[in-house]
Amino acid sequence: MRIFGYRIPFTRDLQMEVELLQQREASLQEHEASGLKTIRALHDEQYALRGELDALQRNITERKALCADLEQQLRAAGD
Amino acid sequence: MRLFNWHIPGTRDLQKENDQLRKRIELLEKENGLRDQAASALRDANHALRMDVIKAQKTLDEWMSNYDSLRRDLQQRLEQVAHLQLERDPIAQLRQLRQEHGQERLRQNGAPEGTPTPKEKKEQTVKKEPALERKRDREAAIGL
Repeated sequence: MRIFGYRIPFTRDLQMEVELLQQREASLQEHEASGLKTIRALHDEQYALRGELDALQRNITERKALCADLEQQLRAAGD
Repeated sequence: MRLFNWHIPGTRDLQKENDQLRKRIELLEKENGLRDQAASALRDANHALRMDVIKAQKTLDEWMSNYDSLRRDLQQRLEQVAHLQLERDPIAQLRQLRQEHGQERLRQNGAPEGTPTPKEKKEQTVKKEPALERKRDREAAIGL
């Protein structure tokens, strides 16, 4: 802003500060977007891992039952 | 800002924008900080889950191996039992000898592998239908 041909420094400082703050906000918004993407990917990964673990635990239970059955057959065959 | 006690137009708007930006930045910083913490916690949880998956896979491999070993043992035991039963039963022994002898004779006569012995052939032969049933079938077929 100019008054009687002079530029008022305070206005220029304020404008510069606003520009800097706008840059800072843009950078934080980028960080926000990337953070959201990371969180989504981590959630997906967790979902997949839980599924894998559940399937493995089911298989272990099933295999244990089969082994118990075989052990029983072995005992019966030994009599 | 006031100059000679006058307010300079424009500075107020800039100051207002400046304050709003600062507030938004503060909020974004807080949110981003919390999100970073959440991501870190999720990473830790996923690492622990991955370790559990590796452990479960090892456990499953052990049970698979245990199962195979038990199945082999059972197979051996059943063969032993069958052998013992055969030893105790002279009639079954004789039957087996006859079967083996029949197959040996077939082999000696040049029959291909898998050819049934005369006894097996006889057992496999389907009995012919009685004449009366064949007659009924024929009549049913022509609608009598």
